[in-house]
Amino acid sequence: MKTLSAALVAAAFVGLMVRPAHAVDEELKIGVVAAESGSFVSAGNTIVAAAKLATQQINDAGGIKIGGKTYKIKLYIRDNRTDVNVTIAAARELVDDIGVKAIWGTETHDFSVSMAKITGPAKVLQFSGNSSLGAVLDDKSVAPGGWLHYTFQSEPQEWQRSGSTAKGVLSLLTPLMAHPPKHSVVFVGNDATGQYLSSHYVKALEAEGQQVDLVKYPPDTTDFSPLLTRIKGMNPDIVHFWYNGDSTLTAFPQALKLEVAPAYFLFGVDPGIYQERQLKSDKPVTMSCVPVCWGSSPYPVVQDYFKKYFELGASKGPQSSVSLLYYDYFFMYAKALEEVGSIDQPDAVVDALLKMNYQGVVSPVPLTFNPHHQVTFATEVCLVKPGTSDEFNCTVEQPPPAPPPGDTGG
Amino acid sequence: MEIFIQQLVNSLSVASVTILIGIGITLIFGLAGIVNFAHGEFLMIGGMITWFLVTSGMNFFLALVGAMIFVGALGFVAERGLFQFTLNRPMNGFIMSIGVSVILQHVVIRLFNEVQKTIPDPVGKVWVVGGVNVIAMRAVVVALTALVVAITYFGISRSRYGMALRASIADQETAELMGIPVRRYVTGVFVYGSVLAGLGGALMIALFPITPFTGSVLIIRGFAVSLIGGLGNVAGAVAGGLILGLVDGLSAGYGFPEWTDAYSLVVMIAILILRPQGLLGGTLGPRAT
Amino acid sequence: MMSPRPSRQEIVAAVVVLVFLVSFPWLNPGYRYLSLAITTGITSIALYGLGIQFGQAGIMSVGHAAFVGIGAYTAAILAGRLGVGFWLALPFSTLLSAVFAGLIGLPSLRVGGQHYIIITFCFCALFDLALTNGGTFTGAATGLDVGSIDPIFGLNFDQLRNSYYLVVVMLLICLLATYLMMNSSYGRTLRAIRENEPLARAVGINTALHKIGALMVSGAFAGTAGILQAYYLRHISPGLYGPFPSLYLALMVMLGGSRLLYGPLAGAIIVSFLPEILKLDPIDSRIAYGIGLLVVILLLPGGVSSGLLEIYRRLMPGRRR
Repeated sequence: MKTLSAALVAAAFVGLMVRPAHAVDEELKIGVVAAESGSFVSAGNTIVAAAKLATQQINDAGGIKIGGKTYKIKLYIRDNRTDVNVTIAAARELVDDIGVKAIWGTETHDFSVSMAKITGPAKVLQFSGNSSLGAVLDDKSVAPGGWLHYTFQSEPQEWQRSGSTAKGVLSLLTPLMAHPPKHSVVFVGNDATGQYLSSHYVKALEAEGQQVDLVKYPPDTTDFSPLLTRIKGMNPDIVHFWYNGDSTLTAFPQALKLEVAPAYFLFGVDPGIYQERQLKSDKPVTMSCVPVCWGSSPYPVVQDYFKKYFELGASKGPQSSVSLLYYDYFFMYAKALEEVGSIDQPDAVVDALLKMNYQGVVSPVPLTFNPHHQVTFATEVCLVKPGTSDEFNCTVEQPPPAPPPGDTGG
Repeated sequence: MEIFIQQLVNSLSVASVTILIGIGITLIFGLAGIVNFAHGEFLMIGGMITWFLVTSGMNFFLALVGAMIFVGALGFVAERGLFQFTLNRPMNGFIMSIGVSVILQHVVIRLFNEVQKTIPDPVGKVWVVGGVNVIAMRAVVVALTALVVAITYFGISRSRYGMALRASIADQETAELMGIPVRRYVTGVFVYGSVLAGLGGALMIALFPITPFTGSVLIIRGFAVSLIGGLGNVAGAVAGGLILGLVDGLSAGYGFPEWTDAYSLVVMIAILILRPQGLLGGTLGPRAT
Repeated sequence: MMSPRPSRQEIVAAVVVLVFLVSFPWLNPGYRYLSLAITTGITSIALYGLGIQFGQAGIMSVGHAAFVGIGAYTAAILAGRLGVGFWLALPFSTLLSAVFAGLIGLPSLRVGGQHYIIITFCFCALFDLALTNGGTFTGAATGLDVGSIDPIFGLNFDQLRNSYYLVVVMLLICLLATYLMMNSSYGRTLRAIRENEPLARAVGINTALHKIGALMVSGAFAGTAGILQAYYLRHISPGLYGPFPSLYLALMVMLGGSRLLYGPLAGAIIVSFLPEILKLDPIDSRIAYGIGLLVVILLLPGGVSSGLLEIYRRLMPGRRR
């Protein structure tokens, strides 16, 4: 018995040492920092899901060919627990202990900024889907040596998103209204993102000829009836629920019951969710998706993406499409690395990204980064047929070429 | 003018949910001496159970009863298993209840995930009365709350049980000497308060979506309402709830919207400092520290 | 006013803690743990404030994070508007937080403990709201950015290890101050007030002055923690200083034990590191943390540090303090 087992062990040993002569795959370390727990978990999970899907697809297709070697992505996912201290610790771990070359994340503006203060000096690329970064991305900060030189904003500049949304909303609603809309009320949650987004959207609407009133509500409001009643008293033509998706889904049914306005716009509510919740209105309702709709996109490549995305087990929520703010950039980064031919030249990679045109899923036109490291694409706006929950008609308006008057850009 | 009346009508229904929490807290805090910060989570669980039962096909009002029973049982377990050991050190009970609230929130996330939950409006009608839109479900909430308030108030003030309860807070030792099973009454009050929280949760999800974190937003309201009205004073909780509901509604309607929460916070602070025994008088707490 | 000579036990404990704190970076913890250690140290400085005000004087607050916020925002505003760096802003942050803590403490002279808790919660919520609506002065909801700490004595604080030692030095100053206070007649007076306020007043103690004093010291500690936090995170926003962070601070100090010298430090370490070390799933770790709190409260009302002290006493019979 002993001789047999010894022989088996010896055979196993020999077997292990004799390997087929093929090239060993190298490892490309990429980090993800997102909220897998805590209050922002519904957005954070979408980042992780997108990263996993992209990584799986890239690795299954054979990996990335950089400088004659084949690299497979190894993902290091770190939960930030919706806590800034943990975000920073995770960033430090990824950058200094593990040595990742790039980090995707986070869902929260504050965390992304704190993280950039770590990735910047370490020359680690950072892809963040927070349009509010526009406030800090300027000539000085993105220049070589600036703290944001390696950071890329994967959400379009806010004035662009506002511009294309405003155009889309008005073009869809106007034909269905008794008289052309003149007075819009923008209703937004009073936190960092809400304040930033609304400041641009108001200007975009004004540029389209609307007279706009802005009403900001405390972020944790659940009973919107007092504020909605107040808005009703302003006699608006359209009420725009601008942020965030969860609050909008709470406020909108209340608004319908109170008959606040003749037309509505819901920012960040996907037709898929509208259908799932069986919402129904006899007034025209438009909604936009951040960045594309998972519930009823006319583009097959988007439908295919979401099919695979949900198959991996991701939950269907108002935030599911946020995943697309992160997905395409894995492929863009891979392409940039292939062009540069090395994983150790971050400056060259940054330059390659800035020159790149990439046809991704998130936009029907190729993705590019502007000189301030911000991506550009249009926003899809959909109109649901009054009285139904599932008949949608969607349009994509290209963003305006320049910020409207009074808008400082960014 | 319709807008003003609409605001008043709106305030009433919000005040109702706050009153339900407030009554539970004022009874538990004022009479049983237990500071239960997880009371908001009890409400949230009431709502989640209702959601679960309704989406499994149960009629809303049956689900509501189911929620009340479940949360009442939860309260029983919490009191017997945890709070009865800290009756002499309410501060410890308070900290423990923070632990309980964290546990409950995350268990719910584990079981049901963190996405907000909603049910279709059980009544679904909107009555338009003189230019004012009255959402029928909200009227149901107000009516049920009024019923509960009446039952509680007359129960405390007229029944023997209520009198024994009031004797217990006035002087626990003497009450015990007189044969009142104070400990059992404490458990009873705790369970009753929890049942009310369950009801509040069921009514709340009928009105708007809830998330696992909904409870933590409401709990301070509940405490403030009970302190403003006077601990142990049911009428006080109603008064406190109405006042805060009104301040909320009117401040949202006519003040600066982004400062909406501030008005009720200032009112809470003012009344707590200027009239610590509450508007209608109550105990100063189990141990007047 | 003279503190009696420290006992042998106390010296041993102090040496152990000192050695541990100083040698930590050399134990090869990795950047993740070093970073967590820094933020834990900052949190524990804030917790020592609660240790003084609650552990000694018996005044609980769930608005403590607001005073940390005052320290942080003072530093950020001074840096952004007046170009004042870390070292010059430090006394301002500390002082301003102390002053506000004293002011917010005034209602505690009039109402009971449970009322005061709700009042502190409300004040903290108002502070959060004021920051959110403060326009460009406070950076509104987006918050403010802060630069690096200016190097002194050739030490560059962008190096993580140097930041760690800065925090350790501050923490040690805190520990020393707490120790001196606990063992002085001032500390004994505070504890007398905590145990029986009417009696203290009857023997002629000016309880109001002592209570407000304790609250101001607590505020000062919080303000120091605030400016350290601002310069470590390099970006602050209102969400860090609202009522719910305050709640977690109260929780931590209860867990660790507010009355013992190392209690607040223990509380901060447990909350920050236990989930890390046990590698629990994030949701499960919070459930475990809540259960742990229940266990501690039910079985160890003095907090984990008092439990450890009991174990130590059982193992070392003989000399008792």
